[in-house]
Amino acid sequence: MKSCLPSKFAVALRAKLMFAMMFFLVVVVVVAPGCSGRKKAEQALQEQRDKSIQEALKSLKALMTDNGMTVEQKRAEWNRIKNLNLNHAEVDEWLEKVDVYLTQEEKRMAEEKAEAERQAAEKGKSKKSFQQVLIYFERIANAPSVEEANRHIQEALSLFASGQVPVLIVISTSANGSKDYDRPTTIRKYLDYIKDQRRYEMQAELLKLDEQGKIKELELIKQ
Amino acid sequence: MSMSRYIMVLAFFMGISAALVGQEKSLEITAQRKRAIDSLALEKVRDLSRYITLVGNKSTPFSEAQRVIDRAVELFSDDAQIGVSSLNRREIRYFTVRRYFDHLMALNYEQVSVEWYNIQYVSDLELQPDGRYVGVITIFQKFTGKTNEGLKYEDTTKKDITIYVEKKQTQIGGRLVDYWDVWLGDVRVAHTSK
Repeated sequence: MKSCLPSKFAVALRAKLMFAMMFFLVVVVVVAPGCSGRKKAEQALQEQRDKSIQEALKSLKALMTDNGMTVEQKRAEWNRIKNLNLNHAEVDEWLEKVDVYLTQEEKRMAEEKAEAERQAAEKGKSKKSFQQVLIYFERIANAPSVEEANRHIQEALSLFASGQVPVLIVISTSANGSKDYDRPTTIRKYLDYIKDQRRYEMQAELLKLDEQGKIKELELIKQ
Repeated sequence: MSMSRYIMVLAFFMGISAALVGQEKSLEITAQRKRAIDSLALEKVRDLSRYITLVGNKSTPFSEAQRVIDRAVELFSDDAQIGVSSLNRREIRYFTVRRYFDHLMALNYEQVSVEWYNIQYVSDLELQPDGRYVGVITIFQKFTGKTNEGLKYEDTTKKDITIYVEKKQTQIGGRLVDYWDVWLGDVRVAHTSK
């Protein structure tokens, strides 16, 4: 009987010890290697993030320079970097800087485009005005009477901002493109001149229109 | 005069000469530009010829004639005079430009015809020390006047016109424009014949 009790206790103790050892083994064999892997994974992730941050910073700085990309391409690259959500102070600072720069560039591009469209429209209008002016020159020069010539002059003047619109006449153009002019006159006087001389030997060289589409300056060149 | 003072005076005059030569060079023009200016001056004389024809023509309305006279006056320098001759008198009368045209308009003929021809340079445009170019263009004028009674007067006059050309600058539409100002001086009678 005496030998039974310690034996039961010893068995229970041994079992507990065995359990503790097994638990320790499981911890050592299973959990410990797991911690080390996560650390490695975390380190790898950190390295990847650092690399992304460096690349993003490099790319953002390049967007501020003339790197051969169009403004649209630059904006697309900016969006890509922003969508990485790097949550990095320096990257965020550069994102803001580049955004301001790109917004200015986009505004400038829009203005340039609008100006180009305006110039193209004006060129179209100018061409039409040129043709109308030359038709009137022809009619005035060939009018069979002073009355008819005067009527054509009045009609022609309606194309101009006023009778005082300056008319420049190019008498020669040098090789470097500089022009020699006759004494400047006004459109009123020039139309009368065509009527008096009954001839015109000019081609329209340059024409400027005002906001109402009226001619405000005319340059003619001798044929 | 000491040698150093002599050298200083010599250097001074050499400097002035160089400056004058430089100024003259800057006023010189290329052959192409010269041709354009020559042609422009001839054109001004042709314009005048047309104005004289218009004012002389009795069928030109008075208001038109007055406007044409204003344009013609603009072709001349302020003090220019035009010579008028006649086969009926020896003296040559000189009028200011406006008075010449008034006189032309008031001629006591029913029909007047004034034609200019053989318009050409007799003295090429030459650069003057004041920076202007001066030349002389000669023209032949055929004048015909007919009275109501059928009397006809005709003469041919050779006239010499002094031409002045100067480069000037003006502002057009906010920019400075260089231009060649051509104007006419006296129109002098060389001789008159039938």
